[in-house]
Amino acid sequence: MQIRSLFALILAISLSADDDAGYRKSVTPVVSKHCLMCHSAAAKIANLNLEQYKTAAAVLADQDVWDKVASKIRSGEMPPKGRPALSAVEKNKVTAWLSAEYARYDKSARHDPGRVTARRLNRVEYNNTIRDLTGLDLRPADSFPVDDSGYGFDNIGDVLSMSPALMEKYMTAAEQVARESIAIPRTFAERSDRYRSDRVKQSGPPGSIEVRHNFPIEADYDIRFAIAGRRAGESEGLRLDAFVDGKPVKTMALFVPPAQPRFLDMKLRLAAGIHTMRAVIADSDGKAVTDDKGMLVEYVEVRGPRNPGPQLPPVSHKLILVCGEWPGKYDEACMKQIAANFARRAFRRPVSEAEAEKYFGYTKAGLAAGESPERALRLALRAILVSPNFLFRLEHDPKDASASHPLNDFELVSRLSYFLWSSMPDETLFRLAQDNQLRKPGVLERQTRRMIEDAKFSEFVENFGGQWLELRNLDEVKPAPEKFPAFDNTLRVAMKRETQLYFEHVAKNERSLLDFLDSDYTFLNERLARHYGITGVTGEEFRKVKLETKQRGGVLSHASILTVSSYPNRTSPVIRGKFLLENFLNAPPPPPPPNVPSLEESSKGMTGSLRQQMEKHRSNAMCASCHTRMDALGFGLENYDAIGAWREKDGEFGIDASGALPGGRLFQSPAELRAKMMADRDEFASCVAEKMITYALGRGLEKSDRTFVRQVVRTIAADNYKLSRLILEIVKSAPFQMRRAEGVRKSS
Amino acid sequence: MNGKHLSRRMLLRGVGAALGLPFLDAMTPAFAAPSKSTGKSPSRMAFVYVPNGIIMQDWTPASEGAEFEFKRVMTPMAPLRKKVMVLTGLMQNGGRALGDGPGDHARAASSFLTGAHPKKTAGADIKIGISVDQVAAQRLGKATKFASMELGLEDGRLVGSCDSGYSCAYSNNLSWRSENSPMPPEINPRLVFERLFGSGDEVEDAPARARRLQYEKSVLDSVLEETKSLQTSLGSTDRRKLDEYLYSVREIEKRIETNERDSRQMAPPMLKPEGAPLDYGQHARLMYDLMTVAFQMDATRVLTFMMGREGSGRAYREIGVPDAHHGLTHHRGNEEWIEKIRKINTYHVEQFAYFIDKLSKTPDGDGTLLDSSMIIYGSGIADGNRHTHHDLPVLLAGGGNGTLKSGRHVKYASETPMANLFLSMLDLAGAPTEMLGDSKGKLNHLSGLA
Repeated sequence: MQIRSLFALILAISLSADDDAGYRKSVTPVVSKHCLMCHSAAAKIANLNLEQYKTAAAVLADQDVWDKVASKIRSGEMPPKGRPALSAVEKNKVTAWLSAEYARYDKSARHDPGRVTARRLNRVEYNNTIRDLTGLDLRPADSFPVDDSGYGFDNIGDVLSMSPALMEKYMTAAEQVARESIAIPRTFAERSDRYRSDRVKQSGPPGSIEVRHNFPIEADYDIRFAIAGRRAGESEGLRLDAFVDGKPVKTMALFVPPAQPRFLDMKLRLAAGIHTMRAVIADSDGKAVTDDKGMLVEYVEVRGPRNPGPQLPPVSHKLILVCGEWPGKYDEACMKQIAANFARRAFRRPVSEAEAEKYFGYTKAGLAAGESPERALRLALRAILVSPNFLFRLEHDPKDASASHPLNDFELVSRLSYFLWSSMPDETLFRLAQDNQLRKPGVLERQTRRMIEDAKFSEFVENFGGQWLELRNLDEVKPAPEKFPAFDNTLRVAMKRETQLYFEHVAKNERSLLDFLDSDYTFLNERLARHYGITGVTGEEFRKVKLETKQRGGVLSHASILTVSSYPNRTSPVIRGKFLLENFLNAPPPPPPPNVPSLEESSKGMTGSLRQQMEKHRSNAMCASCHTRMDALGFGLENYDAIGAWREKDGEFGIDASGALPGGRLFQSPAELRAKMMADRDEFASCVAEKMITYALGRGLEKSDRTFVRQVVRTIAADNYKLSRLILEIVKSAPFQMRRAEGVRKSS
Repeated sequence: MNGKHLSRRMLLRGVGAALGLPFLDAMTPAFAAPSKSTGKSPSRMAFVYVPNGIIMQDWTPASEGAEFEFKRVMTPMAPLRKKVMVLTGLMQNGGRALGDGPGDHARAASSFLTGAHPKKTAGADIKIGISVDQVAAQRLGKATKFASMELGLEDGRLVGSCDSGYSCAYSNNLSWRSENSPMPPEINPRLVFERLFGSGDEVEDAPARARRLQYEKSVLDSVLEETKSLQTSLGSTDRRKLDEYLYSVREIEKRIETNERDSRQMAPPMLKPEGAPLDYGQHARLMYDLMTVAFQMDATRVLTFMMGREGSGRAYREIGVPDAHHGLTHHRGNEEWIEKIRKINTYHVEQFAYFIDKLSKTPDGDGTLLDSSMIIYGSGIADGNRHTHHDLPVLLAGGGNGTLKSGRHVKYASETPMANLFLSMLDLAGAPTEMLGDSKGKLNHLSGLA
C-alpha cells in the first residue's frame, strides 16, 4: 500500500464534505473563469489540466502542482499578459482557501518522516571527525577524491559512493592517524622537506607562500624560503616577511636582481606538531603587496630536527590513552579500555562487550607478535577507523519497528552534530544521550543553541552557506586580470570572509533570515571597504560597519555572490537572475529546451550595451518565456560589476538597473529590487528552509516533506523569521527526529 | 632490496624539480620483463577522454585508408602515423536526449564508455551501465595489483548541479563499475605515485612488509565479517551502500594478495611528483608518465584518463586562450572563437602524442608497450556548438599485441555504435563479452582482415 494513497484515503474520510464545498465555492469558479481556457483536459497547455481537480482531496494529492498554481497567481504571472487579470478578491479566495486547507491537512494525520540512506562521511566530515577524535588536525581527506553532490549538497547519502580507490585511501589514512596519534619513543633522523609554490595551491597575496608542516619533535629546524625573481626594477622598497603560525619571525629587504638574495634563511626552535609557515612580499610599511611584483617565493624547505628536546606525548594521548602511562606501561585491562573507548567515540554510540573484545583482539595479536603496547594499540585504532561503523553514519530500525519510529538518542545527537558542526558529537552530547536526557523538555533546544554559539558552528556556515550561496565556487573563479586588475587572492579571501561573518552574525544574534535580503550593515576590512568605495575602515581586521547609502545591503550586494554569478570578463544577468530564482525565490527556471544553445551573449556582430544585446536575444520566443524572468531580475544587479564593485557605467554605456520580479513587479535599482523582494519573504523562507532541511537530513525532499516545510515556515514567520529559530524548528521536526521503518514503502 | 640498482631512498632523497622526468635508464633492469614465461606481453587498454567536442572539419581526414592526411588538430600525431588508426562514423546514441531534454555534457561523458543512456536524476538513484574498461578489468585485471586505474586532470565541480538536472557523477566520471557505481578519477600525480610505490616515508625490509600485509589482511577480514552482520539489520538502500563498501574491501584484499605473491622489489623509475603542477601541459604529461609506469611495471592493464571533466570551463592561458573552454564551444560560427577551440583541441592531442610516443619507446617483451596496447582517444561530443553525438572523434592507437593494423583512416557507416568498437576491442584483448550498452555486433576492419 502506498503511503500517500493511504493518507489520501484517510483524508477523504476525515475531511468533511465542507472542504469540498469550500473548494467548489472558492476555487472552482475562479479556475473555470480564468484558467480552463488553456489548462483544461482538452487544451492542457504546459501539460497542466486543472479540470481534473474535483475535490479537496484531489488537490492535496498534487500539492506540487497547486503550490505552483498559487505562486503564479500570487505573483501575477498567471493569467498571462493579454488575459484579464484576477481581481484581488479572486486571488485571495484561491490562495486563502489553499493555505487553510494545507494548515488543516498538515495537522490532520501522522506524516511520513522519510528514510535517510546510510551516509558515508564526506571529506569535510571525515577531516573534522578525525580532528575531534584525536585532537590532531591531520586532514587526511584532503587527498580523497571529491565527493559527488546531489540536490545542491555534498552530504547526500544516496549520492556518496564508495570505490576501491577510496577504500585504499581509508586504509592509508587509518594507518596515518593511528601512527600520529599514538607516539612511540624514538629518535628522529635529520631530513629535509621542500614545498614548491607551483605545486601547493596558494591563496595568499601574489608571490607569497603558505605551507603546513608536521614537525615531529621539539628541536631546532632550518627553514629556508627561496626567492625567484622574474623581472628587474620593481622590487625597490619591497621586503619579504616570514611568519610562523601567524607570528612574524624574520624580514629581509628585496633588491633588483642580480643583487637579489636568493634565500631567506632562519633557524628556529619549534615545538612538536603542525606549524604554518608563510612568507609574504610586502611594501616598506609591511603591507602585503596586492599585485604581481615579478617575484615569488619559489619554495619552502624545512631541514631538521637538530638538538631535539625530550619527546613529548602528542595531545592525542589525552583523548585516546585514557589509562596507563606513556611510554609502555599499559596492562591488559587498560589496553582493552583504550580500544573500547576509541571505538565508542569513533562509532558515536556505545559498543558491546563483544565489539570491545574484538578490537582489543588486534592489540593482543600485535603483542603476541612481539610489538610494543603502543604499536599494538595502533592496530586496534586502524581496524576501528576502516570499519563501516565509523565510515558510515548508520541508523538501525528497532526490532519491532512497524512504521515510523523515533531515532535513538545516539543517532539523534549524531544527526545534530553533523548538521551544525559537520563533525562527531562532543562528550556533552554523548553524555546526554547516554543518560536519556535528550528528549527532556528544553534540553534539545538548549543544546542546539549551545552548538550555534560554539566555534565549530563555522563549519555550518562554510558547508551549508558555502553550498547554498555557492561561495565555494569563489575559490575557483578567475576574473580576467586584464579587465579586473584589482582582483587578487587577498580580495578573494576578504569577499568570502564578509559573507561568512555576516551569516554567523545572523545566526548567533537572533537576527532574521530577512537580513539576507536587505539590511543596513555588513562586515568589512580595509581592502574590501576600498573595493566598495566605503571610507573610514582601516586595517586587515574585519568589523561590523553600518551602511550609510543604499548602494549595498543584504548578501545580494556582497562581492562574493556577485563574483560567483559572473563570467570571468563580465557580468551575466542570466546567471544572476537564475541564482536569485533558484536560491532565493524558490522558483528555479526549467532547463533550456533541447537543442537551444545557451545564451552566450556574444558581442560579435552586435552593437549596443549588454542589455540591448540581450533584449535582442529575447525576441526569440523559444527563449523568451524563461529568460524574461531571469534576465529581468538579473538586470537589477547590473550596478555591480563582475567582481562586485559599484559602477554607473559599463564601458561607454550608462547602467540601467531597472527590471521586474516575476509577475511584472517593476523596480529601478538594486535597492528597490531588495525592497520588493521583501514582499516575497515567505517564498524566500520556504526556499531557505527546503535547502536547509535537505542539508540537515542528507536526502532530497519528497512530496510528503511539504507538510514539514510549511510547518517550519509558519513557525518561524511568527518569530520574525529568525535564522536560529529555523535551525531549531528543523531539529524539532519529525523528519529530523524520526525514521520510516524499512518495508513501509514510500510513495511514488 | 636489490643492491645493483638505485635504491628508492636514494631517489627520494634526490628530489629536484620533479617535473615529468624521463625514465632513468639505470632503473630499467629492476623490472622483470612481464610474463616472460609465455613470451607474450599481456594485453593492455587505455581510454582517454577530452571534453566539449572538437572542431571536426579540422579533425576528420578527407581520404580513407593508409594515405590519409593529418588535419590541423591532429598534426601532433603525424610523426606517429604508423601507430594510430582514425575511426570515423561512430556514434553514442546514449548521449542523445531521447526525450530527456538538455544535459548533453552529462550524457556525453557517461555514455562514452558505457554505450548506455543515463537516467536523468540530480541525486539519488543514478543509473547508467557498466563501462568497457570495467568489463576489461574483470578479465585483464585479475593478475595485477590494480584491476584498473582511473585518472583525471580536473576535480569535479564544487557546488551546484553540473548539467541541466543531471547528477555531477555523470559528467565527472568515465568509468562505471556497475550501473550505479562510478569510479572517480584521481587527479593528483603524487597520490597516483604513492598508490604505485607506497608513500616512501619508510623503507621496509621484507619481514616488515610481510607483517604489514598480514595486519592489513586481518583488518579487512574483520571488516568483511562486520559488514555482513550489519547487512542483515539494515534496510535495502543502506545495504546497497554497504555492497559498494564490500566490493571495495574485497578489491583491496585481492590487491594485498597480489602484493604478497609479487616478490619483486619495485623501485620507481621516476621521481616522486610533489603535487599537481599548475601548468596544464605539465600536469597532463606527468599523468601520462605515471600511466606509462603503471603499464611498464604491470601494476594495471586497464586505464582511463579524463583530460577534463565534461562541460569543463578551464581556461588555457598557457596557450593564449584565457576564455572558458565550454563557453567557447558555443561559438555559433564566430571564427575567433573557433580558432581558440582549435588551439585547445590541438594542445590536447599534443599531450596524447607525448603518451603514445613514450609508450612506443618503452620496451616490453620483444616489442614496446605500445605494441601490446590498445589506446582510445576521443570525445562523447563531436560538434560542441550543437552538441552532436554522431561522427565522434575517435583515435585508436597501439598494436593490440599484433591484432590491430594501424596507420589507416577507417570510415564506418554513420550511426555505428561506439559499443561495437568496444566489443571488438574486448575480443581482441581476450576478454570477449556478448553485449555492452547498445552494441549491435562487432566492428570490422580493425585488423585489416575483413
